[in-house]
Amino acid sequence: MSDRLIAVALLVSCGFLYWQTYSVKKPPFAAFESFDAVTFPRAVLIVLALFALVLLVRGAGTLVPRHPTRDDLRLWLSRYRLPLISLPAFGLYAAAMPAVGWFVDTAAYLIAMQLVLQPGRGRRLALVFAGSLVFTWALGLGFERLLHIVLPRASLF
Amino acid sequence: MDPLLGGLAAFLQPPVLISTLVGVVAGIIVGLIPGFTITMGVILVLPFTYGMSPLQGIATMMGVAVGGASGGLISACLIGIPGTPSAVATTFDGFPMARKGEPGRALGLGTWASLFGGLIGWVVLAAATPPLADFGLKFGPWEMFSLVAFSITMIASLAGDSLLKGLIAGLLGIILATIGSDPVLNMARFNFGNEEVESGFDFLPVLIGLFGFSQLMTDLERHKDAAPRVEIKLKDVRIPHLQVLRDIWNSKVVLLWSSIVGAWIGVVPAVGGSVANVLAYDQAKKVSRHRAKFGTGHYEGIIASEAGNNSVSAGDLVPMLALGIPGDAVTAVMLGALLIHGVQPGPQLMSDPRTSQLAWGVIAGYLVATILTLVIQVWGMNLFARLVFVPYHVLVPGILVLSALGALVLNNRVFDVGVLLGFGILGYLMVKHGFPLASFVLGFLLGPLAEINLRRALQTDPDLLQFAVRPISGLLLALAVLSVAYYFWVGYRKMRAPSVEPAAP
Repeated sequence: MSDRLIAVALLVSCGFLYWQTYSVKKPPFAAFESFDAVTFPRAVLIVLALFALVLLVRGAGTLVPRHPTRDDLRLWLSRYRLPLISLPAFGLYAAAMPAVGWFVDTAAYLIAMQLVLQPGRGRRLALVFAGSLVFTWALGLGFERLLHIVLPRASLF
Repeated sequence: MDPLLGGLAAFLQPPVLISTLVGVVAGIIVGLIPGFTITMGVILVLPFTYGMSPLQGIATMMGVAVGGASGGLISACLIGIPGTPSAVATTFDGFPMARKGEPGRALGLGTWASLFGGLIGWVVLAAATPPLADFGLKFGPWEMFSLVAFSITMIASLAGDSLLKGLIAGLLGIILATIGSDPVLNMARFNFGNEEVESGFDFLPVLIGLFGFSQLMTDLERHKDAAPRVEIKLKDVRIPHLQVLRDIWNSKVVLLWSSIVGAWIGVVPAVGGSVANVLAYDQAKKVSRHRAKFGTGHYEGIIASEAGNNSVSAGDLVPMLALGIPGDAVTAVMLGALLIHGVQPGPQLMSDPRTSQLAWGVIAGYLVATILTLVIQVWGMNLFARLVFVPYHVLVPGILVLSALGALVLNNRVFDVGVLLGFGILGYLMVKHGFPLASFVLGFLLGPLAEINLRRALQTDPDLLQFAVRPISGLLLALAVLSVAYYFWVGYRKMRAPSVEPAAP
């Protein structure tokens, strides 16, 4: 993603948020206040949009990158494979937590992630399972018993 | 002296001392693992501090910060990869010395230099904080607004490669901090009808996402092509203390100068340990009589680097305790932790009788944590040296779970884990495209402070010129302009002299 694309995304976001400031209500007791809830965000959005514009103009002078080849794509995928798996995996972990509860969710996530990062079988697989279960159990119990913080329970079972 | 002794007495309470000890051990471990930063370590212990008193919580995090600043030298010396960015320069001489068959001497030099650097930094912390806080008490809303403007401009010009991107990151942080409700009239804004966003994004999930999550994703990119590890026989790791102390005595000027450089860099908001480390090394090279030996496994190189990166963590605490402005990301987390405990950092922290003991406790605690770091590192060096080789595929998932837990238990809602993920993705993209995270965080943290003070100032006197004509406010704004001018001046010098001699081999 080039700076130009980022600049455009920033400009669109600034425009959207600026438009949103018109939906902010003003309380009756502050009717005569010149500096209300939207003045500051508006000022910041204007300055941010100006900087984004400079970024856009500055980026316009740079060379357009050549069309990526199949090899480029393969290299890119090889480099970003693990972050690309880890991000949705973490999203799934967060989304599943209310349904399956913290303990099951965390143990499953730990096992899955360790196997994604370093696939294994036999003794290693057993170690990953045992380590993940013990870690989850110790951490959860530590928080619940020692720090008195109740972790999310499963709503499904 | 009395408040310092009072703070020391508060800090020496067994629960606080034990927490510091645990923090130091955790810090050394986090510090020695390449790729994991001290900020991440502080974030990871954060959820464990929720149930503690403010001093105990800060003591734990300070233990991590001080231990981590020193722990980075272990992997820097043993495998040539800095455990933390602030130990980069330690690799220049620490690794060659270890490869020459003197790993114990290299580790000993780093450990003892960390102690002396930390002690000199502590003197700066104890001496500079009270007068700066007294000075801060004179600040009205104009000065506070100008201080925020100065801090954000300063960090934007120093924290990254591009001033424009630094300023954009800072403003993005400010605008995302306005989501929720306005801090004066409590009117909802930008929440799109979502109840969970009504109070805005909590600072800690944002910080965990930005620094912890994005760092882990960056580490995962490098997971496959990790640098080859040089096995050093761990039985060789014995510290020759007498020889090390003799080396340090022979380099007292280098040690003192590097520590002062480090502490000064720490006091300047936003310039962190990595800059202090390299700059202290560079300065040491200039004052040393053996500059040709730097980079070949010379003891002065290790001393300069480690003294610099340890004194910086003391300097970082100065603006946080005196003005409520974090010196770096680590102190930003500490500041967030204080807010969770209902303590408002700022100039009043030192003078308010209800909080002054806490402030002095932090100052005294830094000294205790520095000494504890030496004791623990010397005692457990062999064990720590083995931890350098713990594989990533075990660490990364565990740290991701701890990060999620830190966000989850803050308000006991899964929504905050989603916030962590969202800001983690944002942080990762920002890192990939050269937008400094430190600017964003400072904007996010100080944005509400800027808004409140701007509104207060304009309600008192609508004349905008007041910001420029009031002496302190005007000076801070002038400094903000100067920091921008400095950025352009450095850029101009680089352009004029494209082939500069490298600071390190």
